[in-house]
Amino acid sequence: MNEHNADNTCWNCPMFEFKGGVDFRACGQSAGEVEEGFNMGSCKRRPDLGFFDPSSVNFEECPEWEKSEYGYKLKKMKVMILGIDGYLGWSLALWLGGLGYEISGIDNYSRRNWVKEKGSHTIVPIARMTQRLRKAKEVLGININFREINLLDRNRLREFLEEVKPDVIVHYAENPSAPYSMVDDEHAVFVQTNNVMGTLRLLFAIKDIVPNTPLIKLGTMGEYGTPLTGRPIFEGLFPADAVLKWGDREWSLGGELTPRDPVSFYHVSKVQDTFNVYEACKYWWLRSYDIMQGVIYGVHIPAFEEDDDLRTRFDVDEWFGTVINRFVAQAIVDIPLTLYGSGHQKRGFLALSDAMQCMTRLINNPPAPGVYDVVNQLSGVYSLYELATTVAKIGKEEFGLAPKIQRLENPRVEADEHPYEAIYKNLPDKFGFKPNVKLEEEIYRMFKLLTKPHIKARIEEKKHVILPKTHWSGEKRESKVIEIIDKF
Amino acid sequence: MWDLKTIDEKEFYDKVLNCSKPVFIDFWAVWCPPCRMMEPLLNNIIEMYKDKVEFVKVNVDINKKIARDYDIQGVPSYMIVKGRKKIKEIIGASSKKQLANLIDDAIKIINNGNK
Repeated sequence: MNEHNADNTCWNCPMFEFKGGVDFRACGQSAGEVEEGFNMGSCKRRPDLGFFDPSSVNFEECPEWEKSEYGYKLKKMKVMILGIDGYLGWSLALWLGGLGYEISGIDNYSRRNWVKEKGSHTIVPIARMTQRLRKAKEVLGININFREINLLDRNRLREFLEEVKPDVIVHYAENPSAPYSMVDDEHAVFVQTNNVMGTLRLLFAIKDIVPNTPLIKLGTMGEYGTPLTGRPIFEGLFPADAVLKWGDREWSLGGELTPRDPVSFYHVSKVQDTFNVYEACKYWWLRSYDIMQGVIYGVHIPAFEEDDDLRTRFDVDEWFGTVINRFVAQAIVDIPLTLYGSGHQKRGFLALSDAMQCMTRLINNPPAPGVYDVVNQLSGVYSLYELATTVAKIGKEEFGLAPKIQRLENPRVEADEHPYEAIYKNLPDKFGFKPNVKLEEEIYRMFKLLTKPHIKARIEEKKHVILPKTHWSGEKRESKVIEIIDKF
Repeated sequence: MWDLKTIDEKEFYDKVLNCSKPVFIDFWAVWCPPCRMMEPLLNNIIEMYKDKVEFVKVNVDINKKIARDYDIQGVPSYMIVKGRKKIKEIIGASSKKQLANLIDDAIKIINNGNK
């Protein structure tokens, strides 16, 4: 079978260095005076080729790109993960390290501190970073070049980029919590400053130091909101046959950013990032994939099974616990699984190891200069009620638990009865993504791990921080119970 | 559709200038989101008009000389030419109806000119 990225050429490869004047311009902007030689360049890995046309060599032909399970892969590709200590960052480091990528990363442990601020802890215990790095090397043979750096620390970030010169950058280093951003003005200002300014610092640093290095940036499906008209949620940009009609005239919306309707100040920070990254690609010919990620759930990638010190964190508190993860924890300690409002809200979801597969495929298919593209990263859409019943049934039938479901007054301001048609074709169609994990299978694995006595004890210890107390209105109180459901 | 990857500029000019049918030229760039999003719609248009019109695609970064010769001010640009003459042009992402109108109008202009 033809690999999804076999026909990519040196235009896509971060090893190719264009020579001559780069013609920075936007769609609709006239071309400037440029040197004729721009289409020529040289390869950092194969200087013997001299100057050549980047369209003339594709990944299938180039000996620096080798066949792998996830398409052609650049040999010893250097991946820098920002936010490497987090739920996704640590998972990706081990996943890619196991596939032969060279891993570096930064973190300032802020996730550990935010969860502490809530009075919680990760339910699956995780080791200190020094121990994590030692175990990754000893058990898996993965060397990780780690620095404790805050993304907002301009000089240290730039020094590290200069040192590593990564071939691709994965940006997970943001605060990911909607409720955290809604606590009060201090938290809202913090989240927006941390996320938006951090990304802006990064964009300028990439432009100045590694302009050919693609940025794979984590956004969220929550940027789009849930359009009540039922119009499809396209992948960031309108297709060309989406037409705006006014009077007897019509225009194609093709290629324009689709409307965003964020649902918290955190989601607003992600929308601002989208525009900043989009503009940077336009102004400086940076390259980026913006990932509109659904809600990730699960505890499994193969590397975690090798040693408990290699596991990734798992949060269940009201600020950082995501929905399926929280449901499983609630079922184990006999708290009714909590739905906010009707529970009919629909969202996109993806298992942790499938998210890792998506990232690998995106990394292997670097965008060409100037390209800003968007993928909606999910493998299925479910209502929260469906998920709660699925978790409850598995808990009851496979683990002998007696879970209930409760509907609470919704602490958020959001539609809880709405149509939802998310389009998510780019990853399977352009990048060859095939989901490997079934929802029920991963929920079973979560129960299996989380019912271990030492982990169950850690949930018991923090059960008081699971239920929502942060209301979008600014009130700090428990949500009222609307209904208890024990038959499903 | 003629594939510019496989023919050089000289061949492009030979084909466009000597083509018996009107030629639809799609000027595009890889970094341009509207250009990328137009691709499925253009395939549709090609299917509809392949008997009446010849289609070519010009990447303005790879074929800068062609883009300059046709005075391309922005991408995507869709142009109908007949021999050396520019018949009609549209700039920016376009709906199927707009592209169909572009081609139909151009064919009318060419036919009227030939009377």
